[in-house]
Amino acid sequence: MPDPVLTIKELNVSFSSSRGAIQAVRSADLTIYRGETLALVGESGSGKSTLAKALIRLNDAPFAPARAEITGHAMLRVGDWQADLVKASRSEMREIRARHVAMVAQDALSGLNPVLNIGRQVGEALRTAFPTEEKDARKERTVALLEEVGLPEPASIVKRFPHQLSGGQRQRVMIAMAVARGPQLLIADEPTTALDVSVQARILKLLKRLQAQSGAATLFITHDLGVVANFADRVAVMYAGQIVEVAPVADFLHQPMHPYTAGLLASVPGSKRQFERLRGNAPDPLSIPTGCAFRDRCPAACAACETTPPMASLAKRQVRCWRNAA
Amino acid sequence: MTIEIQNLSVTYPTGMFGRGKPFQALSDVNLTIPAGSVMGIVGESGSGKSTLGRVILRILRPSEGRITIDGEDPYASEDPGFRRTVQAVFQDSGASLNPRRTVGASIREGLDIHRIGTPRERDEKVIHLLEKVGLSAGYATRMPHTLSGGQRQRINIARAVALEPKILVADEPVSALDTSVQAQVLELLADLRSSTDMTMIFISHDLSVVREICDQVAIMHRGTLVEAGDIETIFNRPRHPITQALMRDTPRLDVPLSMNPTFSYNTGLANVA
Repeated sequence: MPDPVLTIKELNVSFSSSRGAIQAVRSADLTIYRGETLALVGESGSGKSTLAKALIRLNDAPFAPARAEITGHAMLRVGDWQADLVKASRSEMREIRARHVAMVAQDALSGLNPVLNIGRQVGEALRTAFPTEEKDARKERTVALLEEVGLPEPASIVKRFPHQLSGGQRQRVMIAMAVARGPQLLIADEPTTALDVSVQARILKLLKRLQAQSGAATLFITHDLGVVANFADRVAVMYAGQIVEVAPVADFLHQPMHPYTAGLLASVPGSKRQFERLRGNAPDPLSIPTGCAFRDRCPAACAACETTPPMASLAKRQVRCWRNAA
Repeated sequence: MTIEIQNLSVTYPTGMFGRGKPFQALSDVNLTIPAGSVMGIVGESGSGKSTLGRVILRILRPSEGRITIDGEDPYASEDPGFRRTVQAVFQDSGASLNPRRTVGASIREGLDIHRIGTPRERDEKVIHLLEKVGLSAGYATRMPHTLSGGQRQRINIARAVALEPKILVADEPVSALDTSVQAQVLELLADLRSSTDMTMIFISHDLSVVREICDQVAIMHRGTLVEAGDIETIFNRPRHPITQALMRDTPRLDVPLSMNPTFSYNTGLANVA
């Protein structure tokens, strides 16, 4: 039995807006195991980033102006130690972010402080993880870490500022800061979306290598199904705030069970189109249809779809569709 | 219309008052775009693909070399009718529309400027164009911010084809769109193309999108054209190392890790189950 690192149960995230409450994540259940890469896919507004940010409470004050209401459970397990990321206090969250859960975001430039050099910023990440370490030892460790993530001339990179690096180099710095603490869970939110394909391939290789060394779990958020096919072990699909399907990557690609997954796969340029492509648009987050959120775009919709389908558990996979409900 | 590009170079001034070393955005590009074809221009950021598009659009004068459209140099004449023949769709669907004008007015603007038809005919044409791009007549009175990115890109396409151009330059038109919306907009472009004899220049960084819609492709790298030709020939037998690298690094759905010998995330270290 593989070790679960994170077990999410009935997770809800909502925001209040001037036009009403937005249910960004609706009763999400998900387990991430040690050593695996779980891809969280979905189109813009499906709630994938909101879910990820909720795990390290980045949509809380003081990080975000609109405070999110988070309910449910997200149990993080590291050895015998465990904590509920939803209920942890602010000081516990600081500790968790410093040691156990790290995040790499899409926009590396805004993730780095423009007026501090790279050495200072990576050093800061190391200081939170190893507070008692001597200054010189920390400097050495910083250079070693930058070398580890494949940056050329790490001894000179530490003196440089974010704007002096290329997009791929900045993303490597972000990865160095994330893995500095030896996290058990790495959340990568579209880490290669802004990069050229050759740079993307190198960054993905780096992430795979680091994961092989550390055995950490990766929650990989992306909208690029080509990347998913080559990089993920399992896939969770989100639609209108709900996880609609969770499956091993080969099953996801070849035998999608949820009609949305099938339509999404058929929409990828160059796909074989054994399924019908998606029509229409995703629902307005302020007025998500009752019942199955996908039913008005679904080629297989029926009367049962007016009530919300439960998540049906099958061998190694789950799907939220009445066609598969017991 | 056939576009001929010969020994084309473009340099951009750099530094304060242009005193820096000029940046060579394109150097010695030769390319023929046959009438009625869909030419994909592919490359990484900074490869010069958008610069090439701008030269074709007559918004960036070449530093050297020449471009002719059906034998005529667009930069030699100041013909205001030129804009009727060459139209553009850009990546940022929001920035391409006037935020204070209804989308109907934006589509109509070109018809007004070129005085095409009577005012009533123009109104009818706007509605016809909206329907052609898959939106209903009611959208004419909407403001751009009330539309989704995909809907806005449909409006931009409607506006571009309103003047029945002979050439359409689409610069990353679907790159900012979600997968399902992207597929719908690509289908729209393919439909438009098959119902007219329009020549289309499709600029993109995404090889799989280009393969879906183009019949010719040109690969750019650091301002030079490295390979060009028929899409199937290039995809089946890429000759230039840059093309081969681009194809290897583009993740695809149908070639899983284990079956693609040239592309692997596996680094030889212990594999995690």
